[in-house]
Amino acid sequence: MKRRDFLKSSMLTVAGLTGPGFLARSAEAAIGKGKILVVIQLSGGNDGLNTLIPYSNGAYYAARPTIAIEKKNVLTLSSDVGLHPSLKPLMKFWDDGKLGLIQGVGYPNPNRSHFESMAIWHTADPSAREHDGWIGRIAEKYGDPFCATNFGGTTPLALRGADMILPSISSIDSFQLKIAPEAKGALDVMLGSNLSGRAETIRNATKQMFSNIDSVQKGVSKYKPGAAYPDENLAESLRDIARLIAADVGPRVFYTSQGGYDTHAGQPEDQAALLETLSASITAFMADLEKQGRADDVMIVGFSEFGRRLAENASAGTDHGKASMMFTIGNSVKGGLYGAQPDLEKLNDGDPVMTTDFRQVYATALDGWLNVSSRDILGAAFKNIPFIR
Amino acid sequence: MKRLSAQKFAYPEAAHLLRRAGFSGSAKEIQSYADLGLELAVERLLYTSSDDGTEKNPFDLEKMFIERQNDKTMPGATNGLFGWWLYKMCYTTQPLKEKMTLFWHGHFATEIAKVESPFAMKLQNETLRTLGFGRFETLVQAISKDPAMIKYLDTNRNVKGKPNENYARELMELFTLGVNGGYTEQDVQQSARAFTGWTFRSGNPQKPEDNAKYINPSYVFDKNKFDDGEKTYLGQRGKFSGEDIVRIAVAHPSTAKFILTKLWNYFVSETISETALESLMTIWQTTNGEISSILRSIFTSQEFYANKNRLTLIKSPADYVVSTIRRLGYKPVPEQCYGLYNAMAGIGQKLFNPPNVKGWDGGTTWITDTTILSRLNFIGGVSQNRLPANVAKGQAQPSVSYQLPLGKTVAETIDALGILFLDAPPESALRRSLENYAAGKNTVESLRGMTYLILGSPQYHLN
Repeated sequence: MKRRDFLKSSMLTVAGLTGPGFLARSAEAAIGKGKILVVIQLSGGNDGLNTLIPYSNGAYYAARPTIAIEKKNVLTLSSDVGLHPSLKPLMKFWDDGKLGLIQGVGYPNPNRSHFESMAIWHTADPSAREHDGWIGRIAEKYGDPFCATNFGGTTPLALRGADMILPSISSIDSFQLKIAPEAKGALDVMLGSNLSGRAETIRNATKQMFSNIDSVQKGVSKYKPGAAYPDENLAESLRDIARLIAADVGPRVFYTSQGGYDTHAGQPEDQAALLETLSASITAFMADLEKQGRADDVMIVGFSEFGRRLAENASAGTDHGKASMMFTIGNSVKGGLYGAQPDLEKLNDGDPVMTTDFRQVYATALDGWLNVSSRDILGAAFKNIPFIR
Repeated sequence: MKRLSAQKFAYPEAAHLLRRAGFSGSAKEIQSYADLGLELAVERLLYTSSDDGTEKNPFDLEKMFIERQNDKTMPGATNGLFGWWLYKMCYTTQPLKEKMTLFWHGHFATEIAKVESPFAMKLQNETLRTLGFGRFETLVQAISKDPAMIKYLDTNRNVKGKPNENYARELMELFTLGVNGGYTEQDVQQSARAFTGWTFRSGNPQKPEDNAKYINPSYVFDKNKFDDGEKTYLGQRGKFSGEDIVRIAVAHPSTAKFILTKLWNYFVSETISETALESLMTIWQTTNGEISSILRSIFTSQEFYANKNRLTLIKSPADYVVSTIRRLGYKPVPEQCYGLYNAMAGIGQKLFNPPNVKGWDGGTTWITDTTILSRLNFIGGVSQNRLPANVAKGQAQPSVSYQLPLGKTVAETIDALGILFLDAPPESALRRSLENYAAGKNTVESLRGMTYLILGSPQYHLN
C-alpha cells in the first residue's frame, strides 16, 4: 500500500478545527511590478540523475543496474539527456519552449545532511554563517512582511528574516475565525495594549493574523478554478496559490513543498509517483493561470536540497549525494538546457560534481524576474543564467 | 547551580513546576504539590509506576486492528494509537513521564507515515516512556534496536558491502553529538558498517496469518549481513559492533552538552548559561548520564524558578491542548481523544508524525497565522463548553461536562478564571479588558465571553 493511502484510510473525518490560514499584503510592495515567483521545494533530496537522465552515458547504466531508467522510456530532450517518463505532462512546456532545465546545480563543499544542505539552500550561504533565509531578506529589504507566503505547515527557513517570519498557510477555505463578533471586538481591544517578551511576540502575531483574514477572505471570494487539479497536497497548495494570484491580493513570492524524495529504498516506484504528482499539479496550475489571465506573470522554480549518489544501494534506492538539477517553467522562460551535465567519470566520493552554483539561479530570478538586486540579497554578485526571455 | 530554598516553594512555584514538568492542572492539584514542599513535589514527579491513572485506557490497538481488518469503516489501530497517547496525557497522575516521553519523541523523531505500523510506533513510545528517566546510553541502545526506528532510518536496508548511512548519520547529527559535534563524513561511513545486519521482524497487515508478527514487531540481528571488519570511529579503531558505536557516540563530550542544552531549552529557557551547563555536565559525568538526576537538579534549582524564566516559553500544541483539558479537570471520552489529537495536529503538532527526523523546532516556530487561528478556534469551543470529537456519521456529539467558575460578582469571576487558566488573578490591561467586556454583567453568557478573552490572551500561549 502506498504511504499516502495508508494515511488517508486511517484518519477519521475531522469535524472542524483543522484550521489553516495565512497572510496577504496590506499594501502594494515595491518589488516585482506584478511578477510572481513560485518556488517548489522537493524535500528529501530528489534523485536528479533519474529526473534529468544522462541516457547516452554508459557510466549511468553501469552504476544503476536495477533502478536506471531504460533508454526507451526516457523522454528525449537532446542527444545526451531526457526526462523521467512520469514527467510526460511537462513535455508540452518543453515543446513550447517554456521549460528550462539547469544541470549540475550545487554549491562548493557540499553537505550530505538533509538539514544542513537544506539550510544552505534556504539561506543561500554555503558557509552556513547566515541565519536568515533568502526570501526573508527580500521581505526585510522592502520592509514588507507580506511579500512572500509559504503554503504548508510551518514557515521554512527560506522565509525567515532576522526580525520577520513570513507567513505559512495550509489552505484558504478554513482561514476564518469562529467566534461571535462581540467577543472578537473585545479581543481586538485587549490586543491593543503592549506587552513584553514572548507575550508581545504573540500579541503582534495575533493582531496581524486578524487583519490578514479580512483582506484575504475579501480578495478570494470571486475565484473559480480554471483547471481540474489532482487530489494531492501539492496540487491543493498550487490551487490556493492560483486563487491568490487571481485575486491579486497575494504576495510576490510563493513557496510550497512536496516531500518524500528521500528514496533510500524502493526508489523506482516512489519517485515515479512523486514526479507524476509534480508534473500533473504544475500542469493544472499553469492551465488555471491561463484561464485567470495571469500566466504571463508567473515563473516557477523547482529545487531539491541535494541529488543522490550515482551508484544505487542494495535496497533499489540511492543515498544522499551532491549536485543535482533545477527546473523553471513559465511563459517568460526561455526553454532549454543550461549548465553542464556533471562528468560521471569524475565523481566526488561517489557523487556527481556541481557545474553550476544554485545562487546563479536565485540571482537570475531576483535580477531578471522580481527586479530585486541579487547582490543585496545574496551578498555577492552571481552570473545570471539566460533562462528568462 | 544554586538550589531553591525550601521556604520559597509555594503555590506560584508549584504552578510553574507543573506548567513546565507536566501539563498544568487544577488549583487543587497545584495546591497538593505546593503542600508537599519542593523536594517531595519534585520526587513525586520523578516517581513512575504502572498505576498512573491510565490503567483503563480504552484504546486496545490489537482489538481495533482486527476490527478494521474485518470492517473497513472501523477506526483501526492507527487512530487507536493517537487516542491512546492522548488519553494518557489527559488522565495520567504522573505527568512528567508523559512530558519526557514527548521530549524523547521529538528527539528520536519517527514518522508513522514511513513506519506504517501503529504497533511499532507504540512499542517505541513505550520504550521512550520506560527508559526516559534512566541512563541516556541505555535509551540510545534501545532506540537503535527499535523496529520503528530501524524502519524509519533504513537500518534494515543497511547490509555488509552496501552500507546505508541514514541511521549512522542521524545517530550523530541529531541523537547524540549534534550537528557541529565534531564528527566527519568518514565517521558516518565507518559507523554505518557497524549497524549492518540490524533489522526487525514484522508482518504484512493485509494478511491475517501474519497478524501475530505484525502486532508484535521485534528486533532481529542478521549475522550474515553484518560487517565484522575493523572500523575507525571518532578516533578509535576496532572491530566495532553497533553497540560499541552507540557507546562511543554517547561518551563523546559533545553528547552531554547537546542533550543537556536541549533539555534546558525544553524545560527552562531558550538559552542556557555557562554555569548552568557546567553544573549539569558534572551531574551527567558523576551519574553516567542519568536523566532523572539531571531533571532533579533542574527542578530544584533557583534558576528554574527565577522570574525571568516564568511564562517565557511558548506552549507546544500538546501543552496548549492538554493543559486546557487538565486545568478544567475534564476527563475526555474516546471520541474526544481523537478530536483532541486532531486539534493538536491543526495547531502544528501531529503526534507520531513529526515534520521530519529533526522533530519539532519549538519556540517561535509554533507561531504562524494558521496555528494561532487554530488555537483561537479551539479555545473558542472550550469557552462554549464544546470540545472537538470524532464521531461516526449520524452519531451525536458526546456531551461535555466541565463547569466554568461563576463567582458572586464580576470581580470574583475574573479572579476565579485567572486562577483557573493563568494560575493567578488577572492584572492590569488584561483585567481591564475583562471588566470592560463584562460591563457589570455576571451572567453565564459574560462568563463564556470572559473565558474566551482569557484563553485568547497572549499570556495563555506561554508556560
